[in-house]
Amino acid sequence: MLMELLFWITMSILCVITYFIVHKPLYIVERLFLILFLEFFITSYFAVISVNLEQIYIEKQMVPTIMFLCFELILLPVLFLFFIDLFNSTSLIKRLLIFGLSILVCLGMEWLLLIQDVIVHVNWGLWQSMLGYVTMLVVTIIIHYMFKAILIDEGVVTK
Amino acid sequence: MTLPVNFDHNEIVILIGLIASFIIVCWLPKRFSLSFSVLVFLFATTIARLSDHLISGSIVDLYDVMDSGKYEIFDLLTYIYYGPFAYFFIYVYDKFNIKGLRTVLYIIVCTVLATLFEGFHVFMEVFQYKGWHLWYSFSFYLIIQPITLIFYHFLKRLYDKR
Repeated sequence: MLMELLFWITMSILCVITYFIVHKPLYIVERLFLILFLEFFITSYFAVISVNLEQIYIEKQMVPTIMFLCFELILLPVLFLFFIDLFNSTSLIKRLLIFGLSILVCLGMEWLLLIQDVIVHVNWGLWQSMLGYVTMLVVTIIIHYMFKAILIDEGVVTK
Repeated sequence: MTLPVNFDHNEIVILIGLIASFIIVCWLPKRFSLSFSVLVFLFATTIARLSDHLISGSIVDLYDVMDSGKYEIFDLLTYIYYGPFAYFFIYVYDKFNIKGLRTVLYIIVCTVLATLFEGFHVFMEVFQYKGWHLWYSFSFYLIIQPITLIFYHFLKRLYDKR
């Protein structure tokens, strides 16, 4: 299990480093807003799914929990942020491609957690997770547009 | 999100506190732009959510928020409740231009007030400790409040640049 843990920690670090290195079209205030919102939204989503609905069981030992936290607190928010950044800088067809790719990457990570026995799906399928990620991404994009409208109104960013 | 198991005193405390704090925020003379205020609110709300997630979760479960360990609608309102207090904290700091050693005093006073306020909410059963202690909250606020001030200064620098 330690090798898997190392894999998730390495992935998280690489993801954060890549995000900081790559050129980002969004203004830092927007990115701050997005990362705060995503952390809140993603942790709430998984709390509802795993604690309230009991559809996803997360292993209650230390190592699997840390692996899941890497996914939930670092990888997923940073990936979403990365995709929203790209989403804002390209044409419509590329946007759709980026959207689809982002959902696939999220699903791929969840599938990895499944085969590593970090999480167990109880009456839950990957297609439901896909719907969850699509909803999260769409809601985040809408909330971002609303916040951006305020920033444009205040003259903090330009169109 | 689930509805409360029993709608009683702890839910009423959160509702009254939330409404009163938002009324005070609206009543105070405007000091920051809307986007700035949104970021301060969101920062406090997210910190509350993440702390709760990490120390009141599956492997470390030191307290419950509201009636159960589940994610209730009133848990969400409790996180939002932190927003106005972060706003007041920044508001007073900015209005009175607190600097130097007065900042240390300000942080200590606010930490004591926040701990006492949390003590009141423990008494009203908003938080149910299962290994957590009010003294830990004191240390926690002592760490979070300077971080909030750093966040404020960082934001202010960004906004002043524009």
